[in-house]
Amino acid sequence: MLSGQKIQGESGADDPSDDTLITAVAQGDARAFDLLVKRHLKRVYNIAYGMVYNPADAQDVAQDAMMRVWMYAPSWRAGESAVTTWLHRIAVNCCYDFLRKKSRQPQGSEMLPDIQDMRTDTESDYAEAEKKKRLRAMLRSLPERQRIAVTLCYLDEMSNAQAASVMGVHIKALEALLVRARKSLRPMLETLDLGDGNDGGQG
Amino acid sequence: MKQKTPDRDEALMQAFRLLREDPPDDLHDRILRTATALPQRQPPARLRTAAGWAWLHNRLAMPDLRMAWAFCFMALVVAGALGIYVGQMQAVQAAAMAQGDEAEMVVYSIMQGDVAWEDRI
Repeated sequence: MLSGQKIQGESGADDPSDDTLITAVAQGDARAFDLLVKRHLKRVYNIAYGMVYNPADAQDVAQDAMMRVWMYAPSWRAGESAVTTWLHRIAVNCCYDFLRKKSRQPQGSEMLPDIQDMRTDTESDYAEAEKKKRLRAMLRSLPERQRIAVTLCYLDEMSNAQAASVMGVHIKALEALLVRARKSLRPMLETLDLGDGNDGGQG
Repeated sequence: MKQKTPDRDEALMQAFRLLREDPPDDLHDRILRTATALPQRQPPARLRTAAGWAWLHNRLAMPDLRMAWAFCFMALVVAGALGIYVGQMQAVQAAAMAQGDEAEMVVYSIMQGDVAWEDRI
């Protein structure tokens, strides 16, 4: 179990490493899990949001991923892979599972506009909300594997090697996915870039 | 121009950073509440070992089998003790036989006329 003083020092320099935390989580330490969730939830949520688009679904996927981290923590072995890689792999697998389930369900709710997201953003900055909406639509237009590659490398800012490890592919395969994604996104992104200053009112 | 295109693509792709968002506040608590209520899954190898020990423990602790286990244990101890005793006996016999063989050979040699044995014994 993780000692109390280590947890107390969570904002200080003596933060326990991910390895220490996951070892404690494997022994059922809820406080270590709390810290691990605090540290990684944002990235996991963003990966999920990049893949499923709907914030409610992204929350479900992130929750599912974190629950799996808790359940399978005893299976994690030091040296096999970094905690971050292992955790992100779980998140990606959860996304795949979710999309697979979703594809079996009748279409409808998936295609609804992101109302919740739009409403909150409209209050702050409509133009930025619009830009985000278009970016999400661009991501949605990509095939699943290209989408996850873009999400990991650009949204989550992982290195190519890390992203390849998370996706379980060779780095060359990941680079090929990124090249194809960039090629398909280029025309759309250029429009977005050009329209930055003057397309605020576009729907 | 060819060099510039990938750089421009990279710059364009950086727009996806805008999509980074903070998760809702209640998500963290919800995860903690639901996850920690779930049982953790042990890896298969550890599970097998644990299952083996549990099986043995159950067998040993079964009330109707306790006497049987005690009898088996006693029988094993008696058999072990008997084995050691027989082994020791056999070793003593083998030593005695070796000594007997030597004496027999001496007598036989004397009978054959090898008088030198008399000096030796």
